[in-house]
Amino acid sequence: MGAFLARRLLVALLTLLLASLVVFAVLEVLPGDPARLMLGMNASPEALAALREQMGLEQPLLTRYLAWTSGLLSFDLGRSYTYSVPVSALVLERLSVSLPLALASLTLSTLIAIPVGIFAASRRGATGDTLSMGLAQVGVAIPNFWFALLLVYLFAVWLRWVPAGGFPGWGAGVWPAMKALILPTLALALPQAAILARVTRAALIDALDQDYIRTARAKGVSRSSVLWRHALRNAMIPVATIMGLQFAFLLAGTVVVENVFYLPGLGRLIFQAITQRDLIVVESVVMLLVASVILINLLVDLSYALIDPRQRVA
Amino acid sequence: MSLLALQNLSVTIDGKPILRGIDLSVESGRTVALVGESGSGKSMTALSVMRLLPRNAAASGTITLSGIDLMHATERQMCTLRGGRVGMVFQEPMTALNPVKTIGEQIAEGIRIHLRSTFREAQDRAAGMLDRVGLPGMLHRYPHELSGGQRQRVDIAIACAAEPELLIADEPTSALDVVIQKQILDLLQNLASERGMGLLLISHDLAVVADRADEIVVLKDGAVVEHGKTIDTLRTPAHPYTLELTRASSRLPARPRRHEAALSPLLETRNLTRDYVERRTSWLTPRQPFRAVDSASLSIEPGQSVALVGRSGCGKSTLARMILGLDRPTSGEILFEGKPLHLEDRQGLNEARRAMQVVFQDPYGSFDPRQTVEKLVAEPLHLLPQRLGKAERHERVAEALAQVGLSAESLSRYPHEFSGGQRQRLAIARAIILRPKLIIADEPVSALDVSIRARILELFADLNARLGVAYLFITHDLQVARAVADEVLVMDNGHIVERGPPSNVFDRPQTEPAKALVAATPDLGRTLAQHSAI
Amino acid sequence: MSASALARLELNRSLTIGFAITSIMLATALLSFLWTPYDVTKLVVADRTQAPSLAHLFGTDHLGRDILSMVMVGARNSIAVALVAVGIGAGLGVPLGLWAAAKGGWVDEVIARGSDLVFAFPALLSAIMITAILGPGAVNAIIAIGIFNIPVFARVARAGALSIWPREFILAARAAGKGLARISLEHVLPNIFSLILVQLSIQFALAILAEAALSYLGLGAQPPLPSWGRMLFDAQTRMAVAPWMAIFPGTAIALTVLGLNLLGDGLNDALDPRRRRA
Repeated sequence: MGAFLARRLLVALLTLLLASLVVFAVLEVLPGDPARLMLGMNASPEALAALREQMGLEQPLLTRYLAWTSGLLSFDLGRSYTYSVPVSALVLERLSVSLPLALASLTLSTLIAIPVGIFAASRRGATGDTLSMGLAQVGVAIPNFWFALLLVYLFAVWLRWVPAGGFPGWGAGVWPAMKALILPTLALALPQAAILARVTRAALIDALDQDYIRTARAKGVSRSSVLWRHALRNAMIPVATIMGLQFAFLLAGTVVVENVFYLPGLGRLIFQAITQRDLIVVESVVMLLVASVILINLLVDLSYALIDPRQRVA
Repeated sequence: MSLLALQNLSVTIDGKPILRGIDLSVESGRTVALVGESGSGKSMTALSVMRLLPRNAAASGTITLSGIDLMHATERQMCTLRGGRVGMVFQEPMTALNPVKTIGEQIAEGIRIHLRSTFREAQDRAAGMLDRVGLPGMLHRYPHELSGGQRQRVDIAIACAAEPELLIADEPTSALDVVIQKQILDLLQNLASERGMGLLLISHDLAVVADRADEIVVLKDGAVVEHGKTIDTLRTPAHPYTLELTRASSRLPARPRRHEAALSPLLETRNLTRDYVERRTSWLTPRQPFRAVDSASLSIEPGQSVALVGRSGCGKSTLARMILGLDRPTSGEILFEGKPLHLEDRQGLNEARRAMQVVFQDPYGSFDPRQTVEKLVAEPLHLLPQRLGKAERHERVAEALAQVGLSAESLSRYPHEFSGGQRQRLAIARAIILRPKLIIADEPVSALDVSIRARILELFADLNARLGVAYLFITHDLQVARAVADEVLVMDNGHIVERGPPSNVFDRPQTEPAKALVAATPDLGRTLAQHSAI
Repeated sequence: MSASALARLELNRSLTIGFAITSIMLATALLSFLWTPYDVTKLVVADRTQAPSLAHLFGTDHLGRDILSMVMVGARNSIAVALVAVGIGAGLGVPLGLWAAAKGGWVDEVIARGSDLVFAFPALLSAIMITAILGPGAVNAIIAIGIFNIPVFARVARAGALSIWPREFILAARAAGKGLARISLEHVLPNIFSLILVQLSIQFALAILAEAALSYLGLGAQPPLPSWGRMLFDAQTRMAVAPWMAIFPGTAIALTVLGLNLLGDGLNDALDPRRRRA
């Protein structure tokens, strides 16, 4: 178990290191002169020189890379060129929208998907199974931002239950802030839930076909307890894998959905940063998102070890 | 009233008849053997009793357990009967246990369901059950930490935990080697007799059940062809099919001795050794190398037939793979026709392979399902220095097929269109297409039914006589070794521990491993002879 | 493929429906090269934001363009981007996966670590980075989606190949002196082909969704070329007055993805080796 943990941790750190090299190479080395890229062709020489000075572009690549990564480690992400504030402050402010949104969507989609998957698997071939899986099939096909538009049309434009977009900030009270997040959460969670429900059902049915289920039935375990006590835990390995992958999609989804609802989150920040070519913000936020994907993958690997004793070997 | 009685049991799957009117009964404290070849319906009979048939199956007839009508019992009643009054042990120990639960949990589960014990009581009983099956103190182990034989003991513990009156064992030892097989069967019989259970023992192997079952029921194509007291039935079979089975299972005629002494050996290995590095379990402990083959030296003369016997995991397949150039020796030498073989020397290796071919165990796994017979059988022609023309290749394949008794019509067909025995003929055709001097056969008949096994062994003997091919037969089955070999090598824990003519090794084994193998091997002829002496 | 597998292909309902939807979408995209009801680049101010009618079956947008014509041309764009991106992913990923499975050892390790690295960059993040330095365009979308697909196919091919390598027919081929590359091509690839086919349809569906998201954000195909995602972006602020601007392109995306997913499910059922043996 110890060796397994150590190995996975080492792999995650290596991936993180390589990812930082990729981000640095793409955004600071490939463009040649990042300062010119940020300011455009008709920038004044003085402005260019000032920005080069601020970004430390005169220094050798290695020094710049080390300065950037040590900054990342101490959460000193530099100053945003367009907003003229520390990027770390910007990120923290935006996280207060994005993080609750991502966590709420992940929770909601899991809470919907796993029960539906279990329900469908336990009634394989029956009407309930066909119906819920047909619905899931449609849910998988619907793009989340289109679904978001339809939700806006139905609940904001037509029924006027919730605001169509914007975010009052947590300072305006918990309820108004949460109200602004209801539709975005639904838009992200439901298509995800459709995928997860299908995976849960398939994994359960696969587990129910295994020999050990027959052994359990032969010792007198009923059809329903065999599902709960024997098949479910075995089915959790593929489910955890998909949940890990979904987190990456969820991050991407947050960027899109925040744009639909005009939410001042990380996604909108990075999106505005590319339009304004604010590379300092782009590289920090991309790195932050990449690191969170790597962290989630590590957690998924560790969950394998909790679920399945065979995985605990390095 | 019988403990278990089946009357006129018929089962269809998707309308296709699988069982046709089976009658069978088991009394308390007695062992009944249900014997038949693959596809005869043995397992379906067992699953009918458990009411665990596949969804698309339909059963008719009557099944009673101590007078209780099982055919019309509700699912809830069946749940109290399964495990509670009928326990079942399955064939495949590697997949029969839930990989994510400890074996203690899995044994205790049945106890808690049927005896309504508390968690502690169930744990204690499970621990006692593990002691009884010979796995003391293993309550908290997971299935993947156990060997196949140990897992089968766990399966038995699960089946017997709630003290059922009837135990059904469906091919409980087919996946295990002979020494473990004997231990498992002894355990089953001892448990049955000490608890007065009825035992329904299902097997494809007459020799296995001959000295264990009180009664025998022979099944063919879903119908009972013969039943009666075991020894009487096997000594004087009334049905031609039973006669055929007993003949095929009895001692096969030993092959005539050859007397010509060769000048130089065809194949020689000198102190061949193979170490595997085990997976690391912790970074603190150093990796432990595992020695699969330890200084094995052997030599095979042209036209000689050598059998390499041993329990599973003794290193015999690793040795064969090294000879074939499929695995790298850690140290030692392989000489083919006097020339040393090295994996780096592709040309020399391919030259040797032209004269040295292979036949594998599994007639289903040894062919690419997506290629035609012509392509598959022609595969070794790749080793020839020049490429053959289409017509010539076609002719060579047809000739090889004719040698093994298959018609040229087979050329354009796919492997799944052939039966197990025919596929093994195809495998032999592939091996002889280059007219090799040596064929290495890794358990070539152990996946076949006994009646087919005898015919394939005849084919091997025939090819040896006609083409002068030498064989290295790798087998765990001493009957097979006796039938085909001029010389026997016994392997144990990576060492070749004993060698000599079959009659010496099998009738007067000298070393412990050889003695254990001989003692554990079921022998129908010996069983029948012993009983007639009484 | 055996005759019985073919028979099952015909009987499979999801396969039939999926195949039908996918063919219609493909035909629409091809038709758009030859004919569309209106010219999608021509702006007719007088006809702007018209509800669906006989003249404009799907209505018009805020610039007076015919939405049906735009959906048709958008299909071409979506399918082309998805096809090239998935082609890159499978074309590089499958050989890498086969190589990793055949060689094992450090090759396998390097490919596995490379996959981990790429998986840390969801297509959207790669697209954002590329756009930040190169500016927006359809090629960015292709590169971003394509890169993310490489490890997906590498993992599927590797896992499939690893289940084939221990089989005895591979040993027989090695005993016949065949090398790793030759065995991978002759024996391994044909036996994992159905796995890859199923994955192709799944990834194609995901690529359509990803392309839509990227072009919605303005990171994909650029105006005046219509794309489904961009049409939805234009529709967003006009939901209250012109909901049809959102309904038709959205339905086109959902229908295409649904068709491809059904196709994948159907193929999976028809080609499942467990069912084939039965």
